[in-house]
Amino acid sequence: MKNLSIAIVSDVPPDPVYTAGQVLAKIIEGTPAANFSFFWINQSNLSDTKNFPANCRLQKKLNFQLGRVLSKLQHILFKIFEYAPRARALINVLFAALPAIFLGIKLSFELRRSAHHVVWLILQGEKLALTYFILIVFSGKKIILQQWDPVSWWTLHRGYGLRLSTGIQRLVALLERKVALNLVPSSSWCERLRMEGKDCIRIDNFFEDGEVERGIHLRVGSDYEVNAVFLGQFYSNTELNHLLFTLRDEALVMGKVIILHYFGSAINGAPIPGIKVVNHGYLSRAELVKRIAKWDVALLPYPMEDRFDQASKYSFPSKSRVYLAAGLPILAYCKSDSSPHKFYSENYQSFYHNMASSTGLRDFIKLIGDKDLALLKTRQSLSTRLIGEHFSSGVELAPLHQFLGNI
Amino acid sequence: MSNISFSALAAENKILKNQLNQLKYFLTGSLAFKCSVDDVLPGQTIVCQKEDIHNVAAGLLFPVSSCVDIGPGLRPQRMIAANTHLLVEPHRPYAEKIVKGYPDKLTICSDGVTYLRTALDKSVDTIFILDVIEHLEKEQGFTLISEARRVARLQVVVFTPLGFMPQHFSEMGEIWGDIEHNELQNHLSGWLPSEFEQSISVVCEDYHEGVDRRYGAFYSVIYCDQPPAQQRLVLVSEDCPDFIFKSNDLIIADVGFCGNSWLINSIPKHNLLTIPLQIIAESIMEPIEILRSAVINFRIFEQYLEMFSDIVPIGLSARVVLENLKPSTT
Repeated sequence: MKNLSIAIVSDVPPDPVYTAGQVLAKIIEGTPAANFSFFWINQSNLSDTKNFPANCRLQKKLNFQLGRVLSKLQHILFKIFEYAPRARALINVLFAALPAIFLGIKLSFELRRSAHHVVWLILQGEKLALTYFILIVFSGKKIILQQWDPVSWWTLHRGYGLRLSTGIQRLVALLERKVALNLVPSSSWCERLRMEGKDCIRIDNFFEDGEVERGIHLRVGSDYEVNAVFLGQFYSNTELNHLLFTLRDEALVMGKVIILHYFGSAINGAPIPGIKVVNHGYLSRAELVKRIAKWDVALLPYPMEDRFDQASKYSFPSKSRVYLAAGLPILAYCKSDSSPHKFYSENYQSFYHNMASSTGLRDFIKLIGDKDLALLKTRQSLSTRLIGEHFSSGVELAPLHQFLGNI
Repeated sequence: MSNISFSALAAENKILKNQLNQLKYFLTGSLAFKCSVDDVLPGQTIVCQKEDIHNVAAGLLFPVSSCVDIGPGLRPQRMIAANTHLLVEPHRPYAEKIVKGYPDKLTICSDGVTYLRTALDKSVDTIFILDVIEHLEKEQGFTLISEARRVARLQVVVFTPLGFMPQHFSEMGEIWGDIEHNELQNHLSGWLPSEFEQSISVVCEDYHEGVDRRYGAFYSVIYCDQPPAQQRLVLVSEDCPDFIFKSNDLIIADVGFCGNSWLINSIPKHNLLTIPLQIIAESIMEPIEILRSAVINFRIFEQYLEMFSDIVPIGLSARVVLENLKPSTT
């Protein structure tokens, strides 16, 4: 793998501030023999960062903005078809696709001429799917494709029609077939791809050996509180609210109040009645694991709507790995065929409860309120073992290194 | 193994245990071993193991310049270094010994309640009542705590068995410092963390080895300054040696604030948020949207500025940030 040169194309930089960026940073840092050139397609207008791993440099910053000429053309066409909504919709799609296509062509030429051995594409959203399709066809390079969520997650959130959504999914399925290796976050997704004859490795927010440092064993709280932890995501508020309200009501009957320790961006929307929210902001992962380990329970809401079935089955919540690393009991609200439920109900059942598929929340609240340190040690030793068996660099990064070594 | 060799081993084990206890005693309070636990509120309990209890409790204490040690026996407290350290020991033989053993400390021979009744309100930073209160009747114990709270400016630190642990001087083993045991060593009451208001307790459930079973022990750190009606938001960007934090201050500290971080670590805090105040101050003329997208936790910082009316800036950067982001407070 020595002197391997890899081009990364992504809309999220390998900056640990972002969850996805954290994963990229860990993979890059864990592959010191290779040099990485980062092509940043900043479609989300993220702020500038210089926080790259030592063996990665920013090669180019790109975006999907329409040039002046195209913007004007779009404006003129909108005027012409002012009273034709279907035509306008078509124009919208076309002008959304055009920058993606142009970018794909531009990147293809650049990468074709470059000395990179491998191109690593991170796919988040439909525009990138289009760009990458062109890149895969024209770049002439070996390609790795990494996804965190099925593309249907993005298209459904953006309210695309069924036909367009299906078309984009087919495009992504084609990408998966054409690339040399797929990287996905869950075992179920990996299994599905392998059944379709596609090469695949499971990789996400892994832990190095000995990285999970707990500090001293201790619990904090009182008999009248349940200290709950949540690492924030923008799209789980409905399920989070349901989880919180149910927990709050059940705890109230037991004479307890809920204190929610929230790590992430500010909570959008109204305060949650009857729950004290402590907003801790952003912390690094190592600090987070130590900080949250002393509390009672971690909250894991996950998409429940049928339309997000694919995301529920094939994605895997990175935050749950942090919960596991901290040795916290996990209270989930997710479908019984979702990937986190399958994993935790099988491997962590004594300290896991899914509100959607089991009763016995009150018993679970009693369990998590038990401040017995022997129980804490048992739980933490189980979680350390699970991290080592399923989410360590040996399990997730080593296969990727093997693939790169064969190039 | 013969009885003689077994007894010799047991005796050696006791000596080693004693030496280990001595070592632990001298190491307690060392900065290297203090363990800071974030986000603990009065009323909450920290449950930990025996080997951690002293260091966790030491990590909860305010730094002080004066302290009174009630009933230290032969071992004055070592949880915190104080310029003025007064030992109030009721048992004369112990008092005479610690006068000789600790010439840098002040010693008086008196019981705690009698001494404290002569002390002025808020005249000492901290009062330690370690392994004392269980030797008093319940009512006397409450009186001692009440007087201690009156006299202490910042905190009263209590260490005692968890619940009632029987002890009678006639059943005690080896003597301590060549001084015979006496009735003062008897346990007369048992205590629980819930009996100390406005405190944080650190509990170990199997600390003492009793005759028939193990007994727990706990520290209660009772915070004496009454929380103000309104919680303060304190922005810290520089050294602040004279500033006294209150136990329920919400602190926002600059990332570069390392020198005095021990000041922050020693007090329990609702939330310590790290915000790059210096960078914000230097970029204060930038449009707010740029600050929001470029600075970690900036939006949360804005929310706190909006929520609080009592905001105290410490340091130039903190003042600049506050003046520009919340002009109505200046």
